[in-house]
Amino acid sequence: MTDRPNGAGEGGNKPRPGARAKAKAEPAKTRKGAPRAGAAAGVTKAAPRARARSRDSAEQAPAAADPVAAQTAMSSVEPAEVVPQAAELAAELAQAVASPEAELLAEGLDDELASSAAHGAISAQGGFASVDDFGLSPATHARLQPLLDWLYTKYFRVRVSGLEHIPAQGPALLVCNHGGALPWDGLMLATAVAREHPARRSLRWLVEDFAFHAPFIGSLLNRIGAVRACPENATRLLSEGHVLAVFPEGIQGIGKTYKDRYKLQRFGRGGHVKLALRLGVPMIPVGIAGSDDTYPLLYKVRAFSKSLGLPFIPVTPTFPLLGAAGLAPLPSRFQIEVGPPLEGLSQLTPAAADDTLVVHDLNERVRRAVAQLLQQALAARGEHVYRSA
Amino acid sequence: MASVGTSGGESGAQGASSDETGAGLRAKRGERSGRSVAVTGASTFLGKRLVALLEEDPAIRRVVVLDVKGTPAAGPKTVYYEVDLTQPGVESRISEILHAEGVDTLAHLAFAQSPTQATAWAHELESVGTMNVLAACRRKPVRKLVVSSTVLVYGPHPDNPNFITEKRATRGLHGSDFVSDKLDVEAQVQRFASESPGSCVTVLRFATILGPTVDNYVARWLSRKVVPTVMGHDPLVQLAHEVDAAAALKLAVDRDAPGVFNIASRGVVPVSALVKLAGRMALPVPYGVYRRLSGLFWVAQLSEAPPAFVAALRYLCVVDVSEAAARLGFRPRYSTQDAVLDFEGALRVREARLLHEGA
Repeated sequence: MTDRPNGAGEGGNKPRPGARAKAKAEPAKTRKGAPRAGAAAGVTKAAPRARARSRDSAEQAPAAADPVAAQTAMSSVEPAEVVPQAAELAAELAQAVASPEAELLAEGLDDELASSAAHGAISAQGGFASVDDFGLSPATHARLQPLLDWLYTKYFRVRVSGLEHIPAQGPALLVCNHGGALPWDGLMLATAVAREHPARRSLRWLVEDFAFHAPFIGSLLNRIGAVRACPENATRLLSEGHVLAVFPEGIQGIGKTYKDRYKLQRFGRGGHVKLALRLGVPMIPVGIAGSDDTYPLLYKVRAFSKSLGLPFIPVTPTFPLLGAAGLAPLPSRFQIEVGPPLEGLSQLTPAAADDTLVVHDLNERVRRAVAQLLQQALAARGEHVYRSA
Repeated sequence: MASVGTSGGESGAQGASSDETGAGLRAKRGERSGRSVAVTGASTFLGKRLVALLEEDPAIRRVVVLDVKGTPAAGPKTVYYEVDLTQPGVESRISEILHAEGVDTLAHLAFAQSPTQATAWAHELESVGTMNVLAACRRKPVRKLVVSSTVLVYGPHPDNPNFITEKRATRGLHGSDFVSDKLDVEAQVQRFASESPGSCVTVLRFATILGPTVDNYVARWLSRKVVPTVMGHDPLVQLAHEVDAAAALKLAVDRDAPGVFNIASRGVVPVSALVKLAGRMALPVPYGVYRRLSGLFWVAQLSEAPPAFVAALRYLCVVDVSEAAARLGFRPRYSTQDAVLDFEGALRVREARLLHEGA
C-alpha cells in the first residue's frame, strides 16, 4: 500500500495563504497611490471618477483573492494602455505596479507562482469546488450576492416582519405558503433571513423535484441553498441544526391559476408535522405575499408536460410567448410575515408522530396560522402589487 | 522469502520460517494462532490492496489468493491458487482449497471494475462466479464472507435523497449490464446470508474509487483532455479515496459486522468542480446529443461507459456512510476533493512520462 497521503493537495495549498495575503496587500497600495496618480496627471475632473474606479479594482482583486487573478490583472495593463478610454485607469495601475514595493511584491508572487503554478490554479479552483454536503457553494453564493441583493431590495422590494421568531441557533422548521412557477419565494425568504435576522442565519429550503432537476435552474438553485424536497433530506438538515423552510402545498401551490392566487391549498399528508414531532423542532408558520404575482398563471397545459418532466406547462402573459425571457418574474412586491412558533408542540412526544389524529390536527393548525399570516402579509403589502406604494 | 505467489506456497512458507531463527519462530507462532483469509479477484484494485494489507497484519497467518493470475502484492504469507471462477466444476476445487487452508474469512472481490463490452464474460464472472463461490462456502462453511459491491446498485435517479442509506431499495441503473450483474450478486449474497445464519456476511457498497493508482472508467473519463458532461446538469458526486476504500475493506475483514455498508470518503463535489479539480476542461453537451453520441461512441469502443451511465452525470447517487461509521468503525481520512486532487497529481506525473505503467 503506497502510503502517499494528501501530499500533492496539501503541498499545493500551503503557499496559498501567504500569496493571498500579498495579493491583498498589493491592491491596498493601489488604493493609496491612485489619487496621487490622478493629481500628477493633472486630470482634475477625471480624478474622482478615476479614484472610484481604482477603488473598484482594488476591491475586486481581494475578492478574486488568488495570485493567478492578481497576475492576470497586472499583465492586462499593457494592452489596456493602447485603448484611449481606459488610459486613465491604466495609468494608475501602471503607476501602482511600477512603484518599487509593488514590484517587490510582484516578484514574490512570481516566485511562488513559478514554484507551484499548477497547484496555485488548483487550490484556487479548490475554493470554488468546495460545497457543503447538500451542495451549497459559498463561492457561488457570494458571487451571486449582488444580484440577490438587487432582487431583494430593488426588484421584489421585500419587506419582512417577525424574523425574531426564528431562533438564533438550533433547528427550526418554517412552514410557508407557496406560489409562482419558479421558487422565488424560497430564495427571497432565505435572503431575508440572511440579511435581516439578528444571527444572519443561513436558511435552507426545499424545492420540488421538477424545479430541482430542470437543467440549469436546478443546479444553480442547489448551489445557493435549495435542496430537493424529500423526508430524508429534511430530517438530515434539521438534525444538523439548520433552519429549514418547507412549502407543504407543493405543486398545488405553484399550479394555482391567477384567479385563485393566494388561496391556500391543502397541506399534503403532514410529513412536515411528523418531522417536527419526531425531531422535536419548533414549527414556525410564514406567510409570503408576492410570489403568486410573479407569474400570473393563465392556463396549465397538461399535454406533453410528462415528457418534459414538468407537472404542467404554464401559460403566463409572457411565457411561452417571449420564450426563455418569459421566465423572468414580474416585479411584484413581496411582504413576508413570520409568525410565532406553534404552541403546544414541545409538550408532545416523538411518538405522537405516529398518531394520525394528532398529526392531522397539527397540520390543520399550522395551515390556519399560515393562512392568517398570508392575509396579514397581503394587507400589509397594500393594494399596489407591482407599483411602489 | 523468494517464493512469492507460487502454487507450492506451503513448502515455501515452511522453508522461510526455518531459515531465520527469530522471525521464523514468530512466524511459526503466528501460523498457529493467526487467521487464514482467502481473496478472490486479488488482481483487482481492491484485491491487490487487501492482499498487501493482510501481508502486513501480524494477526493474519495465511493469505490464500484464488485468481486466474497472481498478484504483485503477494508476500511470504500469500499462497496462490489458479482458480477460474467461470469454469464448470470450480466450486468443488474452491471448497477443497478452503478446507485445506483452513480458511476463516473469504473476501470475494472478483468483479469487473468498469463497464465492459464483453458483457457475457462479465456476467459469467460476476453472477456465475459468485454462484460458484457461494456454493463452495456452503459446502465448506467459512466463518465470514466479505463481498464488494457498488453504490450504483441504488442508481442515479432524480428522486434520490441527497444521502442514500442502506435501507433504500436498490433500483440499479436501467440498461446497464454492469449494474444488473452487481444487483444479481447482491441478491445471491443476501440469500446465502439468510440460509447460513452461522456465518457473518458483510457487503460493502463502494462509491466510485479514485486516487493516484486506481484505474477504472471514471479515472479514464477524467483522463481525457476534454471531459464531456451534460449541459445544465451539475449533480453532486461522491468518491471513495482509494486509501479509504482499502481501509474499509480491511475493517470488514477484521471486524464482525454482518450486513450492508455504504463506503465513501467525506464530502461531495459538483461534477463541474470534479472536472476542474482534475485539471481538465469540461465540455457540456445537451442531454439528447450526449445520449445518442455516447451510444455510438460505446459501440465504436471510444467511450468509457455505455449510454446508461449518462444518468450519473444528471442525477445524484450519494450515500450516507454513518452506518459504516457506527458498526464498522469506518472513519474516512480523505475527502472527495482529496481523491480528485491525488488523482490529478498522479495523472500529471504520468502525463509528464516520469512514471510509466503501473504507477
